[in-house]
Amino acid sequence: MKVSEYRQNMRDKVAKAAREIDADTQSALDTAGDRAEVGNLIAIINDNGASALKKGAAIDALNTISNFSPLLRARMPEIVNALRGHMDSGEQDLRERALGTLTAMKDEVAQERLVAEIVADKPEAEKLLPTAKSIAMLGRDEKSLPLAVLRQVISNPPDDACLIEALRHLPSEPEAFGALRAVMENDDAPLEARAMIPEMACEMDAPAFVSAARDLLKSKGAEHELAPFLAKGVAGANSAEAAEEVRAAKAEISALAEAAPEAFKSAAAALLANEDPPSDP
Amino acid sequence: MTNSIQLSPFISGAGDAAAYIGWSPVRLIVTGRNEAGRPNVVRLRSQSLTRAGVQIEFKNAATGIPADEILLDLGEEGSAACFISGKFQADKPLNGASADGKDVAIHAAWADNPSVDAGAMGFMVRVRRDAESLNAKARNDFTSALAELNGYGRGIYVTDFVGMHVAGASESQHGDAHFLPWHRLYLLDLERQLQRINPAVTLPYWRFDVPAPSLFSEDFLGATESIPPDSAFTPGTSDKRARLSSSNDLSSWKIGNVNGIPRAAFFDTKTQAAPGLPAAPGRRAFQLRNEADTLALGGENNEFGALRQGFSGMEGTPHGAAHVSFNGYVNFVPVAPQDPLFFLLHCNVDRLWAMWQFLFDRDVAAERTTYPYQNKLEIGFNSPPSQVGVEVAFQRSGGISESVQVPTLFTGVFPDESRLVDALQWPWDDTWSKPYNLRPPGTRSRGFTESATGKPITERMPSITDALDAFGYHDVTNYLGFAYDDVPFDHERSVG
Repeated sequence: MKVSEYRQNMRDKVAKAAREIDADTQSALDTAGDRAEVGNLIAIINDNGASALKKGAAIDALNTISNFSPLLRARMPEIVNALRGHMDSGEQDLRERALGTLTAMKDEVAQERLVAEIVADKPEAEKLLPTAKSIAMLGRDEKSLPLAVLRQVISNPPDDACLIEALRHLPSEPEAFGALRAVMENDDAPLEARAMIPEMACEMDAPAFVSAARDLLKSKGAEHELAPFLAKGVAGANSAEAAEEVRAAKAEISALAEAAPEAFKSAAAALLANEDPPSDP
Repeated sequence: MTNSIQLSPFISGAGDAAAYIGWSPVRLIVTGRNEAGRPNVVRLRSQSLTRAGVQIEFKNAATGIPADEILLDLGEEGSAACFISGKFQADKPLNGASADGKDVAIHAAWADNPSVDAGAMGFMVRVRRDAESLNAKARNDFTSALAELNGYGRGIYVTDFVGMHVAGASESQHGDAHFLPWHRLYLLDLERQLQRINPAVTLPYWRFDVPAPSLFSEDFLGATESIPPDSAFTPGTSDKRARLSSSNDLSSWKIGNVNGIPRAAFFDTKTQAAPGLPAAPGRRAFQLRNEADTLALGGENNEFGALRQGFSGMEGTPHGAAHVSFNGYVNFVPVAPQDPLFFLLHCNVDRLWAMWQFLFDRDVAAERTTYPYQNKLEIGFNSPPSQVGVEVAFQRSGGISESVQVPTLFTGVFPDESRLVDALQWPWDDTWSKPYNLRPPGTRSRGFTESATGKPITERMPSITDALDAFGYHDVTNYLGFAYDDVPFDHERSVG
């Protein structure tokens, strides 16, 4: 087919295109370019008489058009004020939408509230938001999540989701290594949490991690679900202090790989491919 | 061999590293001397190195129709140039583009001895491909290069490419006609970085209006859990994460201190196209436009338009609708590039623009149908006052307060010149972002990535104009070094 024919075929398809879009979508597009309509959405959020459902929909609409509307910036103080008014709403959906949007905007008032909730000594059900959600929301601005708070959650997580979120956001500080090792060695912790740890721990303290990884591989073997992640973690250990441990670990991983499942073999192959070529005799 | 023939794509002396072309014609410099007394004429032909049948075409000048082989007189100088391009073959896989590396060679022989090669060079017809069509090697090359740029949360992907697409720069990039050219430059800057790691890599595109089961798998951008369509929309966050296999280099994806990619979809990523934001009780749907409807946005006259009118209206949908088909980083502009899916989504946005340009010849930078803001007056009068104006309050009779927006042209304030067709773009231009006056992050200031296979950007500071004739219709040297598998180059209309 000649390019000119290809082009004509495409143009024919475009000529048949529907062009019209559904009324709701068109309404959102119109709102994005209309100051009065944006003002109406803000007014709904502020309206004491409006239902939580309607307010939540107005927040969703603002979030949707925020990806392409040039009009929201000028109204940001009004939007922030309107949302702050719902941080303590008795309606959980509305509260979550308000806090989620505010923290996405890195609003310090909302951030401080959520940090206080995470460390508050009260049952999860009584918190403004589940701790895992609070951590995920705060994580969009790393500065808002103190290390001490994350370590507190990791050492005593209310549930698996909290543990995973806290680990996801944990900075690579050497003093957190012990807590990470404890989780890594705990087969009752969810794999998603444990799988994150090897590379994090390696960044924190490479020699200690490689030593721990060797112990784990020896005791649990290559069939263990964490084994490929341990091998990947060892691959990332390139500090001079860890050199001896890494050499020993590579030899052990290489030996284990021969009869190992595919995932471990693949991780081992990547690790061994990074090895320095043997020097000439 | 004394009578060997050397091939140099793009510029004299370029080696194998420059042997990556797309559909657009690029210069090939041929040098050599035949044995004394024999004509200094070379015959060039291409040979596919695989069963895929990838081919290169040749022509003497930048204009005109290419042929499968060419005779080139090197004259007494022993040097001449011709133009080569990948041959678009609609009946072949990837329309005749290379799958994952150099798979076609140019053979050069003296015309008086055509059966004996006197020179050869391997090439890749390197174009951006549908993510669904990538083979395992191409997919792994891409994820591996991306992970290397990510640098476990500390690499240039984070410092520069996440760092430039933030709330403090949103108006430098969004909300008007500059949206498409700015993002074209942004993608290309990242792609050139990927190609420094592995020159066979291009950005794949995610065709969001059809299902993409391969893309949303553990071995690619991550298996993505579906959430009910009436779930709450959570900007920039999700309590579910993309699931990646331990052998996928993206499994250690990190942004700063944060591990993993929060992402959940309002649709079944294995069987459905992205829907946009679905309707829910009290919430209206925001639907995704399909490809044909998007390409029809320019109306009868196929106008680019401004302020989301005309083709530029695609900024709302499908672009915005594709973003909000998820919960997670990708649904919220200031953090969206923290999810690498962002770049595949935007690659499709750019492909749609490239297709529209191809269909309707919209690549003349000086024409308003190609790009609307040709001078300051057009920005002043065409933009909404809220963007380029000041609010003036007054009281009507009866004490009713009102305000009007007065265009800045009438108030002595300059309109936003960064939207002009020849305006250099932030952050490469070493100025301040809009609206929050951010300095360029990382190494982007005067730092647009250089490439041996595309237009060198003057002082490494690109302008909107650079993005408009990206495929070199009006000057072959405008070719930026990228193409799409389904957007050919129309040699019949190339003019320079």
